[in-house]
Amino acid sequence: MEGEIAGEELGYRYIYIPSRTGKAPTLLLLHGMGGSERDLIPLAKTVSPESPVLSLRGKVVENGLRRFFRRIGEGVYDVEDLHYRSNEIADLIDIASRKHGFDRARIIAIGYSNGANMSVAIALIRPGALYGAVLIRPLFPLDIGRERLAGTPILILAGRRDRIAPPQESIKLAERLKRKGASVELHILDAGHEITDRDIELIRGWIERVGYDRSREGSMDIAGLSGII
Amino acid sequence: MKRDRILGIHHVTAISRDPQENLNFYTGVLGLRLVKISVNQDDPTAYHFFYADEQGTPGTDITFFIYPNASKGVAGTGQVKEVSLNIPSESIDYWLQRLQRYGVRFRGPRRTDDGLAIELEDPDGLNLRLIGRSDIGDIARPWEKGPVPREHAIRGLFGVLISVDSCRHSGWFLEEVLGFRKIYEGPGRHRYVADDGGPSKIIDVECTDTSPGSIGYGSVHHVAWRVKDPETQIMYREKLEKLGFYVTPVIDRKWFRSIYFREPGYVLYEIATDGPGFQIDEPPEELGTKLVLPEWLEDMREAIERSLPKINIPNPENWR
Repeated sequence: MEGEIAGEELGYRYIYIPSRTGKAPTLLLLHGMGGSERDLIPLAKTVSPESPVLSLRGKVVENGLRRFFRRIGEGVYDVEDLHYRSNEIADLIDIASRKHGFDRARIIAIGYSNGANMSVAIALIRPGALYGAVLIRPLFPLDIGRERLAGTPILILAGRRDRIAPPQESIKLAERLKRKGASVELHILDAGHEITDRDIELIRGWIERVGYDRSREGSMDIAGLSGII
Repeated sequence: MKRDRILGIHHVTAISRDPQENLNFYTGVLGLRLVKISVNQDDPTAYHFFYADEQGTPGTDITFFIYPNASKGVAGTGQVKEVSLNIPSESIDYWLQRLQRYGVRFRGPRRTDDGLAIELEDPDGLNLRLIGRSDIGDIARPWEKGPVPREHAIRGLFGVLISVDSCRHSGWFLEEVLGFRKIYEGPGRHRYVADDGGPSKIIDVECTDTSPGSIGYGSVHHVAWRVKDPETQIMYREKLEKLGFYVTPVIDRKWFRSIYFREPGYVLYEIATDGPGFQIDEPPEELGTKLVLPEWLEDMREAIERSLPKINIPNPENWR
């Protein structure tokens, strides 16, 4: 694709797509297990066409399939590796922002499945590394990270019929993140584990509301009629 | 769609001050069909107007008690704060023009997660929203003779927004007592759906620590939820009583049967049966043309008619 730059830092292959305007947040894309750094680029271009994109390829390989962190078994994550990779990626963002010139302070992770889990870990282990995060079908039953998340906006998209990442887990995750101070929005969609058009619609709306403004209030537009014309 | 659960919104009832302005706005400007003219069965000196689609389908119905001497309602917790209606997504421009043409106070269109929305006020200041949707095919049958062209007509209710002091308590009630499902949770606001969700099955709960509101013109009096049959209604009634909630006995409202109760945040809910329907006492072509009274008020008809303000039912031709 035109404008794409292939790069590698700290062992992570990535694609960087610059943007001509300066106002949009940068999107950090983290694919699902078995995927690649190409997977989420069309979604990113749809939800926020003006945003620079930094899309990573997972380094951990399990049975030939790429992931972002090691797991010991299904749903059993290698917590030490989780910490290691979180720090790696947070450092990578620092390096890449200097190398490619995007705004370090406003980078939003969009993660799908395993990528969503990685995004949660980064948010908890290196708070401040991310401006916000979109978690598509996460499964993160761990309670890690001791620091508070000062109003970090997080969008969680769960699927009612998702057998891989059950929606109840997302409800619990939302609670945990809120207790740590994050500003969480959770949608339970009429979907399974796959990404749907509705996910894309919601992500687009959320980035428009949250990605450009540092207000820490709940940014859901509550339709009061003050100041009606 | 299961029989034994709440199927969605049955109707919303609000308070209005001026019967003629109310008629002109809801049938004239908004193009809803006046399917019943009656009186408040608990207070026969007050008109009760029912606006809906062609045949009064549950989920399309907004009703008003007319109280000319009421003071203005005060917004606050314990109330329905806003009522949203479905319009076809291609009809946003039509409605912007129409509202402008009739001098309606509105704002928008605003992009929301539900689609493009126009926020407006009715003559009493009731907060309404028109939401452009593409999934409302056969939810409602537009009024054939209405002033709004069929392809642009309002298609029933989308949902309601209630304002309460505790999302947790009001949410618990919706989920555990009424069987709704939570599908969205954000700061200070949750969304619950009945049945399979979608337009006419939505309630948004906004929790805030503003002071309680008070009812008056421009306020919503209650929101009614649909059940298929009296047996399901009785099941809910018994469940509410067993949990210690006060609930009225089943009241025969002629066109449907009702029970009323307050949820933990003080919002007044009704559960209404889908039947018998508005056509039980008027043929379809004549819905909403004459004052209809319940049997037990018929022998006082003359006195009631004399005490009610004079009204002219708007002619759709004048509102095209």
